[in-house]
Amino acid sequence: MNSELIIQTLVNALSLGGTYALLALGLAIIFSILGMINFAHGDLMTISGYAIVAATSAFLSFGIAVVFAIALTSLAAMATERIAFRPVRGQSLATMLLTSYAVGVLLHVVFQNAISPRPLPVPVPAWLSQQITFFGYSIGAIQALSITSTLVLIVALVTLLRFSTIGIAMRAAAQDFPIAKLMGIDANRAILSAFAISGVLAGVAGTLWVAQRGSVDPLMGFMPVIKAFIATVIGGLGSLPGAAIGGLLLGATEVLLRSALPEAALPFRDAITLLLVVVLLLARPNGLMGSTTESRQ
Amino acid sequence: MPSPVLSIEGLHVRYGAIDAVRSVSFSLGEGEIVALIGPNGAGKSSCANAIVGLVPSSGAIMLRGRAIAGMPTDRMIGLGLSLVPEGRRIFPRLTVLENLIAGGVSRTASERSQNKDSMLKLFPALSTRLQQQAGTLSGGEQQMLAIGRALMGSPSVLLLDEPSLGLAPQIIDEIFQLIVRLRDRGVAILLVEQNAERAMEISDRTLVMVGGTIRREAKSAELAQSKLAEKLYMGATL
Repeated sequence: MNSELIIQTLVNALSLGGTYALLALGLAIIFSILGMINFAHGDLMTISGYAIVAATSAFLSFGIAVVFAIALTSLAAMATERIAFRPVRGQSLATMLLTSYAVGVLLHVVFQNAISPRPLPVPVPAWLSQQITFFGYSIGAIQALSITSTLVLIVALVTLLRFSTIGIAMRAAAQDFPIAKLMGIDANRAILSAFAISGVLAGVAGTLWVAQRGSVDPLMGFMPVIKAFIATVIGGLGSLPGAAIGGLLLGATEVLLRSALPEAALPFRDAITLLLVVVLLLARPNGLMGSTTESRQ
Repeated sequence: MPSPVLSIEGLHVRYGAIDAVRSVSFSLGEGEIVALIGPNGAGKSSCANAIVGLVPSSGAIMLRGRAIAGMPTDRMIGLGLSLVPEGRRIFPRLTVLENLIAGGVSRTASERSQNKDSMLKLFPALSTRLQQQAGTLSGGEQQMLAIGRALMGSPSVLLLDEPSLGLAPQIIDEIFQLIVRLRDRGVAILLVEQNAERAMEISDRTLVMVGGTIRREAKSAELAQSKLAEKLYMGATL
């Protein structure tokens, strides 16, 4: 392998891994507070795709369309909390899980019937599909954007959670929910904030996803959210650093297998990836950063 | 008795078929320490948890004349009521400083920073460990942090649930001296304790709880002399 190819593979790995990491963080932040995997998370991602299509067809520039899409996805995430998840809060895990599944199915149906069952083209600006030169190496602009936005978002998230009062309140609520209430932490506000953040993460991930594929369809979010779920399991359910690391690892593994496997073995790529996940979980059943699920409500 | 800051009327807590607390009534005055003692399983902690709304209950709870029963816990904290829970329950994976900040969420940023400064004066041991993960503190330090965290909300009524549990006698001395200092600042304190002797030493009044009801209420000094508390404990293993 020449150095050009190594850099290219590395960039692809970071780019795909970064998108998985953003999605996994969105799942983990909800899981850490509510103990629930939000299977509607992928559909939030799809919302951002449709929002870009809607905004650009209203002659807004791509940049403004992206901001609109991320804001709308965050609002949609907050709406799902308010309408669907708050009424079942504190119910059994199965109830919450099924609720999230139902929200996902409902959104699919809305996308299929109210928008279109077929993929819609997303008008991605030409500069995003160009190559840029970086230290003498040529890399895709979209990959560069993907890696940069992942980094910026992770730094912003860490800053928010570590240094802001609402961030500390959310982490307290994630560790011991009843005691957080005893501190005067408004549970509704902490949970709604978590959904708002997870919506922003899904919005950015969705934007990156459609910018690479150039289209959006009703089931677009399905596979990525499954991957993100696997990433949170790899990292250790409920651990935010674990989710980010798990996402990066999973993305990197997929990209590396794609470039390293012989042609005949390529169809088994996902199977091999999952086999590696199984091996990892046999060695570390709680995942890489696996904390216990202590004091969960 | 000073005018009541917190008064409880007919408090009842039920877990399934079991009545853990049966029509309990008492009040707390400003700058007063009331000890709630009794054997294990008497319903003391249930009482404390019910007052702040952590377990469902019936009965009237008045904070400075305002009915607060049924109010969400986080709103009660904003009104100046606080509980230091049994077993400390600090946030183990937050730092000491973050635990304190979490405790002051109901206050404004400037109040919080003021409270933090006075907390560090009160607990000099914590001031050198602000960036340490709270879960790595010793038991005594964790108890101090739990109390400091509750005080960050500037409570006028503080409920302490078994603050001496699992601590060395010397640390218990420190914690109890601190409780007296808080009382002297005007905080009304309900001290839930299994360590009856120690609790009666620093409290003004004592309530003896057995089997979910208050069997006896008396001035702590009198009760300690009469050995009545001991008799009420008889039959229940400590």
